[in-house]
Amino acid sequence: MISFRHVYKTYDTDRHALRDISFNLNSSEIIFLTGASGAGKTTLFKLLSLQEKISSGELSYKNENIMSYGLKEVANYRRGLGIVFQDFRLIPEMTIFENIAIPLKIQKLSNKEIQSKVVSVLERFNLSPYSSSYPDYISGGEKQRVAIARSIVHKPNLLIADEPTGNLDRQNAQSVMALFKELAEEGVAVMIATHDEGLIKATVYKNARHIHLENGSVASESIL
Amino acid sequence: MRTLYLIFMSLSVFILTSVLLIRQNTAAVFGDHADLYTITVTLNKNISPEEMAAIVEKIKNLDTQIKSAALISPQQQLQDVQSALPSYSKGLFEDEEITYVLNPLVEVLLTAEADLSTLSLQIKSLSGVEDSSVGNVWAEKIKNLFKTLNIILNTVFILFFIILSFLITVLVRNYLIDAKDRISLFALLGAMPLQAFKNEYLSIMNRTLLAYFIGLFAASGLAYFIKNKLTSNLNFTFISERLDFLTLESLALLLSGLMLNLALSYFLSYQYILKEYYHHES
Ligand SMILES: Nc1ncnc2c1ncn2[C@@H]1O[C@H](COP(=O)(O)OP(=O)(O)OP(=O)(O)O)[C@@H](O)[C@H]1O
Ligand SMILES: [Mg+2]
Repeated sequence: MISFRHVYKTYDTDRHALRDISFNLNSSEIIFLTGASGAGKTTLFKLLSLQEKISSGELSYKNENIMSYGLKEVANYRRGLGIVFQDFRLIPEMTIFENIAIPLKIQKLSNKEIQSKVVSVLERFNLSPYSSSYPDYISGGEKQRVAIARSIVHKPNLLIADEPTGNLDRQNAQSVMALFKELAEEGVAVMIATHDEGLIKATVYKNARHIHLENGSVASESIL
Repeated sequence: MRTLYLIFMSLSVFILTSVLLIRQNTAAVFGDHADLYTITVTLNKNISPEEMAAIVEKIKNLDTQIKSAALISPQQQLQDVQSALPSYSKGLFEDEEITYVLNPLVEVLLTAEADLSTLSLQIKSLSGVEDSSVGNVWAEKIKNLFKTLNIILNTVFILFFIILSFLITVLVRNYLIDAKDRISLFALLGAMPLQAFKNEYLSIMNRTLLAYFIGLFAASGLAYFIKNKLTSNLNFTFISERLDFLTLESLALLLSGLMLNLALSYFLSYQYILKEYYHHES
């Protein structure tokens, strides 16, 4: 589904944030991405969400070069994407319900559909009591669950989660992982950046791999 | 902060509207339709009516700035004088003979653009013309003043339209930067650009419309007030009679300004968002 071919990314500085990255991610696969702080995990996700342009190499989605996408194609591609941001990116002026509903609103679903889909993910993440609360008035772990809920509410076919369990206790982290596995089994391609080696060890899944980044390069790649 | 923008935007529209009002009303008082700019031509006494008509035609075709040329025969001049006199003195001019003393005249009406003295000289050189003189000596001065005023008004209009556009540009930036988090999130979740900044654009549009409304309303209110003051002062009724509120032309000009401003803010927002959040330059 996704293919990186000799991808380099340089920000304004002359140092490479990513260097010669090549790998494939297919549907129903889970890739864990690890690496020290500054290794380039978030940068890789920014390339995938077209927030940043690659400096050289090729990045393709379903065999199409995503860098050549026109405006409409960019929007379409992003609609099929689920993103959990490292910093959540919840909108403080919107309630938890409204935050989770954003992808559905963008895709112009009817209010009825939005209502039923949002309520069901709220229940799934034990967030129902916070439906009409605002992000500034809930805990870090709750925010993270809202961020995850928003990333999957529209049934994406590619899910990229940047440190999705950093603020969660073991029990919540495991239930999130269980959800990701479930999605992968349904055909979603999943990529998770994490510092939590324990989480990786605890994951039992047929199609899971682990890519370790060091200074922007792939230092090791293994099948779990 | 945004209230401050609104105040300055309204002020700019106020000035734009006032300029239009001043321009259109000075044009009514001193402009083309003012009938202030005349040349009086004295013809030779001994020429035939056919020759007179030919001269009038010649004068009419002399310059595009000539609006009309009308022959006033001695008989007509006599009538004019008679009708201006009280009835008891009518008898003074009963004698037809007197018309032989009078020269036929041609009254030439010109636009505010015309060069009165040059045209007067040109007319004087025509055969059959005895003399030619500029009607109101002060008209020439007023005309030049009017021309200068128009140049100043046009400059002020353009200047304030630029200032207004600049204010709107800054306002657009201000809105987009404030809503950066939301807009970038919407873009990342697959919104098309307009979907991502619709709310901001609507706010900008509202502000612009409101500024136009306030500015237009204030300037018209002031004009109404001034007209009332002038009307109540008998010395100025001749001016106040000619004063008008915004003509359709001026309104159309303001409306196209508004459209231009709205289009500008839309275009700016769209370009900014494309570049920032879609990495797409078109
Ligand atoms: N917008 C930017 N401009 C310039 N340099 C950047 C930018 N974003 C990231 N970098 C640099 O690129 C490198 C990779 O950063 P990145 O955010 O991808 O790391 P990370 O692996 O996600 O780290 P962390 O685990 O702390 O989140 C770092 O050296 C960082 O300083
Ligand atoms: Mg990161």
